[in-house]
Amino acid sequence: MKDLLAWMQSTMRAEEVPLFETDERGVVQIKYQGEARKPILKRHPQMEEAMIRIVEGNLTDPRWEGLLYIMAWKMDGQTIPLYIGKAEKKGVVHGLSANIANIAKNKGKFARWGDGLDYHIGDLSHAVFGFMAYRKPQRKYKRWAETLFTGSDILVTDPTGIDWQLVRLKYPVVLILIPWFLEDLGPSTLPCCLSSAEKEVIGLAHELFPQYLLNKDGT
Amino acid sequence: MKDYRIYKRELMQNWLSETGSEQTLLFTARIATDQWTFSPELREFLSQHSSSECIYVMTVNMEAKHFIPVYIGKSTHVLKRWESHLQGFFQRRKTYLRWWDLLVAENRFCFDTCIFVIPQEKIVSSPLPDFPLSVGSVEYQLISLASDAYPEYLLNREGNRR
Repeated sequence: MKDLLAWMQSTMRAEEVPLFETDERGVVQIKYQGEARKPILKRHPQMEEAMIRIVEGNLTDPRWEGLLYIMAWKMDGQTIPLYIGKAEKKGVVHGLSANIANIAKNKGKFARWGDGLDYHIGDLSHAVFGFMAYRKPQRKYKRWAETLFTGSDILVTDPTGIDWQLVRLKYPVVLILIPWFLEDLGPSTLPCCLSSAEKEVIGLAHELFPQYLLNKDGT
Repeated sequence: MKDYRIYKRELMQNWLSETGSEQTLLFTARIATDQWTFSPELREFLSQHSSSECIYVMTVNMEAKHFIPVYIGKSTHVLKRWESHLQGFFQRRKTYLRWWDLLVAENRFCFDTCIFVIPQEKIVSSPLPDFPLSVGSVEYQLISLASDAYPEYLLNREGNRR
């Protein structure tokens, strides 16, 4: 069977960065958002720097299709893929996807890793802290939270006087960012468009890491 | 090396042929959409694998032995899933408007359109060489192949290129 990890290592453009900003015990740091001062899990500064650099550096290249990303655990030196997704350059409605437009100031969407609801960090924060919003936390991100975090004994008080219990990473979590160009080779060693490559990677991870993979479809 | 899109088409066609999967006609070309009925034969076909997880592939037939996969999914209840798909399609729900645009013109079906159903036990090879055989993985492999081989036809929203 094709070796997914070997393919990831051979992909020269892949860049691995820590996903969350944590303290030395792995407790995920938070920030407060909006008038309601909602607690939001903080992305690691390295992750933000890499994302902005990759998007801004490739945006005008007509061969660049977007980003393939893999959220993974680093466990005893091993990489365990947890979630695979993509952020396309081209939008469904507009020529340039709103997910990556103006990326340096676009922290709400931030190539699908934004602070807003319907984006990974915003929805995950909603699932962890259960703050009020126009809808309930989504089951998908409750699964993410149960997988990634354990409780901590650290309580912080927000500016409105509400206490929030912080969470700690079970294992270090990284984000592997792979800028995708037209006809790059997927794990099959065949040229792929970005969406095709994403499906190949999930199709392999489904078999190799079934107990860990958080992608609902394909599991 | 030949054009990779042609190679990917061959991989899809070969896999569907090799599985010996059963197929049935869903829509007939040039027939008016309001004449379509959910026939007992179609219902029987879709219900025959109710005990195992299945891949299903909707194809439009361009010529003899050349069929283009347009929608790929998996289910343990293929009949229920297709009752839902067809209800959404004929009610022209928003998520099925692209189906209507591809399959219908002037209220008549454009193509002979078939459904292949491949139960788990019939999967003895993977569409992509050296890839897994599980239903979930095979579904993704087929969407991946169709995304490159037939991007202008693929109706899977999540799987297709923009």
